[in-house]
This record gives sequence, structure tokens and C-alpha cells, in this order.
Amino acid sequence: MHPSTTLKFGRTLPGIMSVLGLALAFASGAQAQGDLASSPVGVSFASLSQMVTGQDYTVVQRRRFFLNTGVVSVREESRVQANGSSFPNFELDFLAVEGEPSGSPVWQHWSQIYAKHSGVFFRHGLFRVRDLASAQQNYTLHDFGTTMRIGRTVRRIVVFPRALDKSIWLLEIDELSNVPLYSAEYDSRMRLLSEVEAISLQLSVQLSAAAPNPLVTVHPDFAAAHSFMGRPAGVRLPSGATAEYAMRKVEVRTNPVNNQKTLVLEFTDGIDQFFLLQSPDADPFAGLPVRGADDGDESHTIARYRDPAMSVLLFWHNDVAFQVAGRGSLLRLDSFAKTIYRQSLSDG
Amino acid sequence: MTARLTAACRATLRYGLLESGPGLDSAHVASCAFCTAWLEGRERLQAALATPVAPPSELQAAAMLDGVRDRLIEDCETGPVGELLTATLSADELADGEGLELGVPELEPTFAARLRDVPGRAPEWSEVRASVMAEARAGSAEHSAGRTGDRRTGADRNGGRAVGFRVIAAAGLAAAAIAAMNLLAERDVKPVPTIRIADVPSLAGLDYSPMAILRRGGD
Repeated sequence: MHPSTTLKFGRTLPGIMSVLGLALAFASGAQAQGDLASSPVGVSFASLSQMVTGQDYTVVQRRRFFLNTGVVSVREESRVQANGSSFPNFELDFLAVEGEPSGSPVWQHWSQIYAKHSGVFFRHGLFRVRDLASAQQNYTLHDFGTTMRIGRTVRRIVVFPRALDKSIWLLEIDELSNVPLYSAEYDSRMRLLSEVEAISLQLSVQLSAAAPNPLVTVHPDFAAAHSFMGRPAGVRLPSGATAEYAMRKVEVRTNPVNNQKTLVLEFTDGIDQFFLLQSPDADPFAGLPVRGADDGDESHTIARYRDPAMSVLLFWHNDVAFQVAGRGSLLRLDSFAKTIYRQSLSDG
Repeated sequence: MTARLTAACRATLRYGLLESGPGLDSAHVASCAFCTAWLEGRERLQAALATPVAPPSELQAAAMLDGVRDRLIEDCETGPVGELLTATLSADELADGEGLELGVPELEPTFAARLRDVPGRAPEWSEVRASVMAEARAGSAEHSAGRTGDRRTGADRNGGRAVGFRVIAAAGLAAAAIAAMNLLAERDVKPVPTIRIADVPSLAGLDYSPMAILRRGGD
């Protein structure tokens, strides 16, 4: 671990763990009673759903990545211009890697990552209430009173899932602006999966006049996205049960190198999310004869990578590369991937 | 559309590989991308193989050949043949080492006889079956200790007969199973695809994954 990170953890970790321990005990009791735990006036899923809808702000924050080689703390600046919707105008810029001199190889590496993927970090790398009704149904919220962070009064809360295969969130919400100043994600074994910590906050924003990213297009539904991609064969809308997860967003990403288009479907249970990606003309085995039904038992394989932080499942059919990606604890993604694979096989 | 090997494709392959069968179905080849590509590749390979490639000079170097020969000799020395030679040759002959004359075209009868007893590889089932069937044809009355070439003991012959009966029984069970499978296959039942999950240690080479970006910056 980075020395400065260790020191920070040394001061805050015991407090955080005690809060989470109380939250676990309280939440288990609340779940046993079947009640939706409520908090004092001002903090609710409804108020959390408006974190980015009604307030302009500029926040400099520290985002930690927990890599196999250690923890990397990246300093970033997020500028949010509210537009009344859950999809505000925003910019997210890389500032520095803590402990690394400007221009070092590590610094440049993360600068390039942010240049390519800052949108992913903003849209999916922070706590969000993506669907209010689903969040109220699938999670409970526990208030632990007020504390101070960066000189501002914040309310510390824990968002606890009703199903144990999802993440637990510890949040510190600025009481004045409703902006999250601290966000930590834990799995059911209390392993820290992600952490974002504010360093400074201004309740105003100045966005540049940069044009929107042409490589990512948002579509109202699958049919529109499919038409945008030229109606490639093999790309399909999955049908069947995804339990409490519902499709929320449809995007098409274009690879600037080879102009290959990828359909990205986002499913959410109100807070958690997983993704189904479909890339036509991306089958590395396209054109080779494969075993058919008349050869006996058909056998198909899904490649799976899983660690405590993420699950990624990959398979190919009809020249289309499929990817199901979600959090590491969401083991039911295996059956979801198999369901999509079977539906693709039944299409031919 | 998933490419599948049809009967016409297999006939094309048989013609190309074995030059057997009714001949090339030109209409099928013209309509099948796989067969067209395969035949074109076959022609290219045949043209390339028509001109034999000279082996590299290293393969003909005396030092390399000597090394191969030395390794073969070392392997034989530590194997059953080496042990037999040690037991058969006199101490004086062994002491000469490099001076042994092995250019004699025929083996001495006693040496050859003992070579037959050197344990080799495990017998294949085909050999066991052939041996058992030969015994069954000849009849148990003709198996005696004096029969030329048959030095097996009574216990070995009984064990061999038991093995033969097991082989016949296993073959019968297999035939019954195949017949049962054929009967079942005659029903119009669509096989359910088996989907397996294989764990991989990393996501190296994956072009884009939102979770990998969120957790590790994409690496």
C-alpha cells in the first residue's frame, strides 16, 4: 500500500468498520422485521436520487484503485452541471497520481486512461440511485448521524442490500448541497472494493465548450440502437427473467481504431448494475466449421473471469462477441450468461 | 449463420484427401465457401510440397549426428538391452568398452534367445485378444509346457482365458449400448446444448470492459 494511503486508512478505517458493523447488525434486524428502515427527515432514497439533478458543483476528489500490485490513488476533478435529469452535463479530468511526479510513466498511464474512460468513471464509478422505486424495494438505508469532512457537515449513511450478493455502500452526504463527499463500497465480507473521497468542493461549475463524445451514443431502446448499428445479425435483446434487475440504458460505443460498434445494455436494480455487451464481427473463430447437431452432443463454452471485485463472462456465437460484466459477488451472472447463450443458439 | 459440415462437404474432403468417392461436386463447391477455401488451400500446399525443401545443413553436421548416436547408446545402456548385454558378455569384452565389434550381421543363437525374454512394453489389447483367441482355437489339451514357443505357465493361461472372456463380455455390452443409443437417436429429439463455464486467470487482450475500467482502469 502507498504510505500516505496507509496513514489515511489508519485514521479512518476503525471508524468506518465500526459504522459498518453497527449497520450490519441493524440491517439484519430490520430485514428480519421486513421493514424499510427510514432515516430522519432530509436523507432518503428520494433525496439521494437527486444528488446530480438539482445542484451544480465542482469537486476535487481522490479515487482509489485496488490493484494486484497495490493501491493507486488518482486525483480527479469532477464538474457537474445539473439539468434536472439523472444524466447531467459533466466533465471529469485527471489531475495527478498521488505520490507520483508529473509526467512519470505511471502518471502518463493514468492520464491516458482518464482521457479514454472518464465518462465510465463518472456514470458508473460512483454511488447513484439509478431507479428510485427499485432502490427502495431492493435496499435499506441507515442513518448514522452527522460528522465533518473537508470542513463541511455531512450525514453518514449506509445503504444495505436486501440480497447478500450485492455491495454495501458507506456514504457521507453534504447536508447543504446533497453532494456525496465520501463513497466506499464493500462486499458482504467487508472487503473494500472502491473508494472516492472529496478533497474540495465548490457549489458552482464552469464547463468547457467541448463537443459531446461522438464515440458513445445513447438510444431510447434496443430497436433504435440496433438500427443505428445497421441491424447486424446475431445481436439480440435478451428475454427472460433477470430477477430484480431491469434494463435502464442502451448505448452504442464505436471503437475509434477499427470503427467497430458495440451495443451496451445496462441493467440495474436501482443502485447496483451489470452490463451486457454485444460486438458483431468480433468472433475470432468466424468462418471455421463447428460441430453441428448431427454430430451428437453440442458443447459450448463461456470464459469466466471472477475476483471479489468483478465478474466478466465472455462467449461468442454467430460472429457476435458477448460480454456479461458485473460485480464479483453477483454469482447469478453465470446463469444470466447461459440464458443469453441458449437464446442465441435457438436463433440459429 | 453457423458454418456446419454437410454430407457434401465431407464428400469433398474425402475426394481431396483420399481421392476416393464419386468425385468432386462442382455445384456444391461453387456454393460452399468452406469447400472452396479448402480446395484452394490444398492446391497451394500441393504446389509448395512439389518442390522438396533441402534440410538445413545443421541436420547433416557430423557433430549433431554423433550427439544423437551417443544419446541412443546411453539410453540403451540403461535399459533392458543394456542389462542383458552386461549379463551376457564376458568381463573382458566389457572392459574393452569402445573396442567392441558390433558389426556381426547375425546374433548368436543363445543371445537371440535371451533377447526374446527382455520385457518390452505393455501388451496391447489387440495382442491379448489375438493370443486368447489362438488358445481358444487350439484347445486346452494342446497347451503343455513342451509346446514350441509357449513358455507361459498354467496360471498365466488361465488368467489369459479370463481376460478373453472379459473382453468378449465388454464387447457385448458395448454393442448393446450402441444399439440402445441408436434406438433412442431414432426419436426426433433435439439435443440440448451443453454450456460449460471455463475460468480464465486474467482479462488480458479484452478490448473493452466497463467493470475492468472501473476496478483497474482497464488493465
